Amino acid sequence: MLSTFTTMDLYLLSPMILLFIFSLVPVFTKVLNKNNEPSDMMSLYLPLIGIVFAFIATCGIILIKIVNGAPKLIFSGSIMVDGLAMWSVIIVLFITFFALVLIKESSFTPKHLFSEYVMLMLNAAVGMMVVAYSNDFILTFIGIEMASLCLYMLIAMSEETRLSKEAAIKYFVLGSLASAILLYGIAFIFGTTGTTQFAEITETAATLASTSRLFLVGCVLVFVGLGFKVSIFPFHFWTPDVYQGSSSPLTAFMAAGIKAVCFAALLRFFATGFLAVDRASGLVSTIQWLAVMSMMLGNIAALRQNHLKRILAYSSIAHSGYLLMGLLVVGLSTNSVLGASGTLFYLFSYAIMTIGAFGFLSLFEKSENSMVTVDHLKGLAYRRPYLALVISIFMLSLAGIPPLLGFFSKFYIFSAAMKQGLYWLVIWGVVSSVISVYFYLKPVVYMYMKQEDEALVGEFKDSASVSFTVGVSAALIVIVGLSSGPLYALIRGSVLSLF
Amino acid sequence: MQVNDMLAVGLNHYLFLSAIIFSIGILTVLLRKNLIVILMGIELMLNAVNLSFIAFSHFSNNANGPVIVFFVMTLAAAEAGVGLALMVTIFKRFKVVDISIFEKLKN
Amino acid sequence: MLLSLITFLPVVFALMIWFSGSNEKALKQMAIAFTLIEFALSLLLFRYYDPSVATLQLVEQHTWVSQMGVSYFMGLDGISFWLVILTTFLTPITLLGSWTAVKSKTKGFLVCMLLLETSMIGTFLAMDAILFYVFFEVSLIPMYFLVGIWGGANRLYATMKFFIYTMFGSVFMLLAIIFMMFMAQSQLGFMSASLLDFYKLEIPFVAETFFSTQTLLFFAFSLAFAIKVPTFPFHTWLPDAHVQAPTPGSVILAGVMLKMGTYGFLRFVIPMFPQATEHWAWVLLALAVVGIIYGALVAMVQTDMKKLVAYSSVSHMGYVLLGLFALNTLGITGAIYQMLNHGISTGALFLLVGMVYERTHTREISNYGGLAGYAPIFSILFVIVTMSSIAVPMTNGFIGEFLILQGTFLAKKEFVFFAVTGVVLAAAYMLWMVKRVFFGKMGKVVQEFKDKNESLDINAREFAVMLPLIIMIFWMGLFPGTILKWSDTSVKHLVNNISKYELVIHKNSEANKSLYSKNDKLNIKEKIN
Repeated sequence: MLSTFTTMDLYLLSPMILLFIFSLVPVFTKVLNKNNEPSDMMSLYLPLIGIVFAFIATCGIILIKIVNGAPKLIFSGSIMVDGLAMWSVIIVLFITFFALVLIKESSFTPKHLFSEYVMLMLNAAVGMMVVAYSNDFILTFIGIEMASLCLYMLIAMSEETRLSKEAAIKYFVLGSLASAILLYGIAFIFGTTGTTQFAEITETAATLASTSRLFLVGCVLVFVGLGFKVSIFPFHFWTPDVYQGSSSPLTAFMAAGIKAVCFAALLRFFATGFLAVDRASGLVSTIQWLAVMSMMLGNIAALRQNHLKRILAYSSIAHSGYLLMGLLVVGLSTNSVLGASGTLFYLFSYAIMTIGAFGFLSLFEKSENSMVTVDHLKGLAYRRPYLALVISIFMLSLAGIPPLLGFFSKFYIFSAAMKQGLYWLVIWGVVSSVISVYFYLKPVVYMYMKQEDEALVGEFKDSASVSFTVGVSAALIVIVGLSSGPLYALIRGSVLSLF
Repeated sequence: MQVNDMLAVGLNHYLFLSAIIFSIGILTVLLRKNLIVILMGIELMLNAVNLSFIAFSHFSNNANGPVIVFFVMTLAAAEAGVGLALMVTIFKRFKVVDISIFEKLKN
Repeated sequence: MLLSLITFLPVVFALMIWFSGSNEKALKQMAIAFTLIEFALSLLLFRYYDPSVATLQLVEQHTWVSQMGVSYFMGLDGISFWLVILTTFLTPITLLGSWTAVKSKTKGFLVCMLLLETSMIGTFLAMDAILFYVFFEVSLIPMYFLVGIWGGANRLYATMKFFIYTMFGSVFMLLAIIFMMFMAQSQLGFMSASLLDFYKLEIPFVAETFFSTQTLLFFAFSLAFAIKVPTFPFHTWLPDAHVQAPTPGSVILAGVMLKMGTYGFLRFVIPMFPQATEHWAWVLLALAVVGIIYGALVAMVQTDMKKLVAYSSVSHMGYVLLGLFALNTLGITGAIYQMLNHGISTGALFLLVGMVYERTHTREISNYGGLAGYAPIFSILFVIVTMSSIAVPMTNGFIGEFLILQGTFLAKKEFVFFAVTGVVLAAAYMLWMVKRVFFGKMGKVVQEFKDKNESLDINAREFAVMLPLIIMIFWMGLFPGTILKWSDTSVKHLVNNISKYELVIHKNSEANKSLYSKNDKLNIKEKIN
C-alpha cells in the first residue's frame, strides 16, 4: 500500500514544519555571515515570529478540525491529529516562546554560539511536538530521542563550565538508559500485538494484558522508560542535579516541555486500556504507591533544601506524582474524560507556572558559581514590589491556593481521582499539598518579612525579557485561574476523541 | 530431521539472547566508570532491542520489524554522536573521561 | 447585584489605595472613608432583606465552571445576615483604632485589610461549596501577611503555623465537597456544587460505625471548622497567632475570622448531615465544654494580657459551639448572638490592650497596677467590656450565654453543669486581671508614666473607636429583640426542618431549581460519566 498524503496533511503538520524551517534560519544566516553571529532580528526575532505563526496554525487546526470533526489519522496511522495532540502542541509552543525570550538575556547562554543554541532549542521543540502528534510508539521514541539529544547538547553548551557539564552527562547517561528501556518495552508490545500503533493496540490490549505475560512486561518497561523522563519515583534521582546544572530558561523548557509531551504519550498509552484488567491489579497498586511516593518524597525532600532551583526540582517530582494520579484514572476506567482533561489542564497550568518560576530565577544567575538560595530573595518586596508580587503569585499557585490556577488544576485532578474511587491516593495528595505550602511560602516569607542581605543584593540584575515572561505568566495564572471554566470545557471537548 | 529439530532456533532463543545482551548493557551503564564504556553499554542495549524486533517480526511474519530497526539504528548513531561530543567537552574541561569525578562535585 | 457589590467593593478600594501615592496620613483617611462607605452600603441590607421569610434572598447565580457544576452563587439569609454586618462594622473601627499601631508600609497594610474584608464577606455570602472554599482559603493569605509583616517578634513561626494548620483542615473539606458533587451527579442527575443541591442529597448513614458515608463527611467538614473556631484540641495556633499579630490583625481575627468556623458548622454540617449530627453531637459538645473550661483555666494563669484574652476567646467560642450543637432554637439563637457578642467584646478587648501597649510597650500584667487612678476613662471602658465578656446582665454577653445555657439544658443536661462552671471561671480570670491591672498598688509602668507626667489615658480618636462598641454592648444587652428578629425565622426554619433541610430562593420559584438542571446547554452530556 502506498501511503499518500495530501496538502491537508501538510497543513495539519504545519506547526512542526514551520518550527523546523524557522530553526534553520539562524544557522543559515550565520553561515552566510562568515561565521559571525547574525543580528538579533535573524537569530531571535524571526524564530519568535515563527513560533507565533505556528501558534496561529495550531489554533486554526483546533478551531476547524478538532471542534467540528473527528480526529484525523494521517501518514498511514502513525500521526493522530486530535485534541490531545493540539493542546500538547500549544503547551510546547508556549514554553518554547518564553524560553527563547529568556535565553537572550541569560548570562549562561554562549554568545558566540547563539544561533546554534536557538536552532537546537527549536528542534527540541519539534521533537516534543512529534511526541505530541504521534499515534505510533516508534514515532514517540523518535520524538523523545530528538528532543532529548538536542537538550543534552543545550545543557552542555553553557557558559558555566562545571555544573552544566555534569548535568549534561548525567542526563545523557540516564536519559539514554531510559530510552533503551522504553524501546525494549516497545519491542515486547510489538511482538505480542503485532503493531506499534496506539489505535490498533487498543483493540487487543485488554485481552492481551490478561493472557500474555510478555505484553505486561512490555507495558511495565514502557512505563519505566517514560517514567524516567518525567521523573517519577524511583526514577527521579537525576532531576535535582540536572535541573540545578542547567541554566534556568533551559530548566523551564525541559521541565515543562518534556513532561508535557511524555505525559501526553503516557496518556495515550494508558488509554489503550491495559490497566483495566484483573491481571494488572498488582501493577495498578504499584503505580499508586509510586504516585504517593513521588508526591510525598518530592515535597518532603524540598522542605530541607535551601537552594531555590533544587526546591523547584524536587517539587516538580511531586507534580509528576499528581499527574500520575490523573493518568491512573485514565488507565483504570474505560471512559474517563474527566481524568484525561484533568491531566491535560494540569499540564497546561504546570507549564505556565514552571516558566514563571524558573524564569525569575534567571534574574539571580549572574556568575558562574552563583547558587541561588532563598537568602537572595530577602527583602525583595521593598526593592522590586511588582516582581515580588509576581513571584508570590507563582509560589501560591504552585502550592495550590485558591483562586489561582494551581488550585483549579489540582481540583480537577482530585475530582477525577475521587470519581474513580482512589480515595487514599487523593488523601495522600492533599496532605502532600499542605506539606508543600511550607516551602512554597518560604520565598514569600523571605521577600516580604525579612531584611535584605547586603552581600547578596549585587547578585540581582534587572532584565526586560524576564519581566515580560513572568508578567505574562502571572497574568495568565490569575486570569485563567479565575475563569478556568471555558478553557476546561474546551480541553474536555477535545479529549473526547481519545475514547 | 532429528538433529535439525533439536537445534531448531525458535523465538524464545532470540529473546533470551536479546535479554542477556540487554542486561549486560544495563549493568555496563550502571556499574562502569568510564564514559566511553558507558556509551558502549548504551549501544549494546539498543542493539539488543534491535535483535528482538527482528526476531519478533520474523516469527510473526510482520514486515514492520526491519523498518523499525532502521529508525532505531539511525537514532543510535545520532546518540553516539552526541555522546561522544559531550565526552570531548568533558575531557577538555576535566582532563579525564571518568564519571567518578562527578560524585565528588556533588555537595 | 447588592451582594456582589458589597463583597468586591473593598477590592476596588484596595486597588485605588495601592495606586494612590505614599502620603500615609491621606491613605489612612482614604481607607477609613472607604470602609465607612462599605458599612453604609451594607446597611442597605436592612432595607432589602425581608426577615419574615426563611428564604435565600438577594440571590446572584452565574455559571463559573460549568463542567463541574461550580457556580458563582451568592445569597443572604438570617444566618449570615448579622455576620456580614459585623464584618463591615468592625473593619472601619479596626482601621481607625490602628491609626498609630502600624507605622511602616501602611499602604500594604491597608490593602491587606481590605482584601481580608472581601474574603470574609464572601465566605459568609457564598452559597456554592467551591466558592465558599475559595473565599475560606483566600482569607488566609492577607491574614498571613498581616501577621508576618507587621507582627511581633516571633511572628514568622506563628503565621506559618496558623496558615498550615488551617489549610490542613480545609483540604479534607475540599475532598468532602468533591465527593458530594459527584453524589449530586448520581442522585440528582447533574453535577453541582451549590449548597441548595447539597441540602437535597440523601446521604447514607449507618449509626454503629464510624465509616459510614455521612459520618465521614461530617467529620471531614467538622475538622476544617473545628480548627477554625478553634475547638480544643485544635486551638494551639490561636494563642501564638494572636500574641504575634498586630492589634488590627488580632481584632479582625478574633472578631470575624473565628466566626467563619462556627458559621460553617451552622451552614454546612448541621443542615447537610442531620443524622450524623444528632448521633455524633456529643463529641462536639464534649469538645466544646472542654474548650470552655480549659480555655478559662489556662487564661487564668497567663501573665500576658493579650494571651489571656486569646485563651478567653477559646473559652467563649466553646460556648458558641455548645449552643450550636444543642440543636434547638434557643441554643442556635444564643450561638448566633454569642458570635456577634464575641466579635464586639473580644474585638474591644484587643483594641484596648493594643491602646495601652502602644504607649507602654509591655503587656505583662505584673508591670501594671493602679491604672484606674491614672487613666480613668480607659479603665471605665475596659471594665464595661469586661462585664460584657463575663455575661453580666444588661450587656450583650448575658443574653447570648443565657440563651445558650437554656438551650443546652433543654437538649443535653449533662453538659450544662460543666458549662456553667465556665461562667464562673470567666468571671474569675477577667476580674482578677482587671484587679491586677487597674486597681491596687501602682505598678512599675504606671509609675514611670506618672513620674514623667505623661498621660496614659486614651485620646479622642480612641474614644471614638470604642464608643460604637460600647453602644452595641448595651443595645444588644437591653434590646436583643431588635437584633434577633432579623435572624429568627431562618433559625426556626433550620431547627424545625433539621432532618430534611431545604432552602428555597426568595420570590422566584423558577430559580428554585439548580442552575444546571433547567438549562439543557449546561447539562453534562451522557458521554461523560
